[in-house]
Amino acid sequence: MLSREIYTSASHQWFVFGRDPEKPDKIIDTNQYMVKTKNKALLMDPGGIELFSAVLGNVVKHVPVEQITHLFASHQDPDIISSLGLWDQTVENATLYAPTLWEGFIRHFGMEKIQYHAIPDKGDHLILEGIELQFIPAHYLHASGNFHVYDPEAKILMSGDVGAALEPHDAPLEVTDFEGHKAKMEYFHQRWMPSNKAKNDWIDRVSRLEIEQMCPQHGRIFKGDDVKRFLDWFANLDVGLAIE
Amino acid sequence: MSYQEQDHFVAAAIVAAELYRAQIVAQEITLTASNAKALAIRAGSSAAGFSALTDFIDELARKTIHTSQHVNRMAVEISKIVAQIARTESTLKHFEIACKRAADAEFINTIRPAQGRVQKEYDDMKLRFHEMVWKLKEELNNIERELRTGVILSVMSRVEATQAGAAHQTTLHAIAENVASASGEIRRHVAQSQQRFAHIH
Repeated sequence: MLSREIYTSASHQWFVFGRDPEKPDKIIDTNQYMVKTKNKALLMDPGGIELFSAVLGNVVKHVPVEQITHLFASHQDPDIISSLGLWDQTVENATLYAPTLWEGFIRHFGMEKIQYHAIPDKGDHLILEGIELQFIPAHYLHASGNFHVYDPEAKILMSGDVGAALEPHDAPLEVTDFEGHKAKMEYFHQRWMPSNKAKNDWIDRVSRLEIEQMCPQHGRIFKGDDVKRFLDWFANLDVGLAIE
Repeated sequence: MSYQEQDHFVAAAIVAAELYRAQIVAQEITLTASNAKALAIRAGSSAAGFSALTDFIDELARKTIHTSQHVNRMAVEISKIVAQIARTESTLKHFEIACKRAADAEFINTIRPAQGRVQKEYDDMKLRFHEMVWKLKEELNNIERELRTGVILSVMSRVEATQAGAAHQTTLHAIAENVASASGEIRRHVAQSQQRFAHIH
């Protein structure tokens, strides 16, 4: 599995783990993200059971296990958090930040030691050794209770399924040709995202944020002007395709 | 999940189902015993011998229900232990793969404490599983022993039914047959349960 540092400063770093060549063929490829401060780490959308070993192997390249103090699940899907039962047996004294709506569901993946911090619908934030990470509401994009993570200092938005693309596991990590990339995103957004109203509300809020990198859970990272290009493209896309 | 764990899951589920069926049959016997008692009272002195037996039949049925419920709870507990064994075993396998794939990672050794904790939990669960299986087998043997009394009771009931007055003979015979067939059915369920755990030590 590929491991790459996507941001670094004196206070913290961002990493992405993904493109696992050994993942079983029929499971969707996922990007896992981690924010590391001096003594703590937040692992975001840590992934499914099938990827646990690869993700753990990559995490310990950068932090000792005991420094994984926080986990985040944008929503309840298995590719997001079905590895929870395994993390529960790996980390001690960790807290999972996840939507309040899904607590009763996510606990089905097995959670005895990890604490559940329920993120209310309006959003929340976490201070990780002085670094503020905001949980931005992204309800119905695609799950009915859904959050993204925004780091105002690094200007990174971890955008969950928004910006996702269906691609082979050896695709590059970053968008280099936005026009060519649109076709890889279109069906995903039209079919998985149910609500134009929710989509437009999210675009309105996210457009006000300073974003240098937008990091989806599937597909490629958008950098610089491609973030704006994505928001414009998304604004013009009709979603909720299956009922038309 | 290994083949062995799958087999243990299935065995525990089958025992729970067999013992549930045995309980239903035993409940029917308590009803039969209560009917027999009422009939024996009505028959008076001509069915005095049968009347004495009805208390034993009722007692046997109650014991069978009680022990079956206990074994059923044990089977459910075994099922939960097997689930924990499967879970911890799977975690250990994932740790092993992570350690192999990231052998040169700077903090690879920090996985070891978690590995140690999970290994201990796995060993404890295995031990608990074997203890529970041993206890379950003992309880099944107890039911089997109790049910041998059922055979004697059904034979005695037939004898006493024959000695009762003509007016009640047919009904008492039917009750005796009921007890005999119910005991046989419960024994079959218990034997099935014993068979499922025979190869697990």
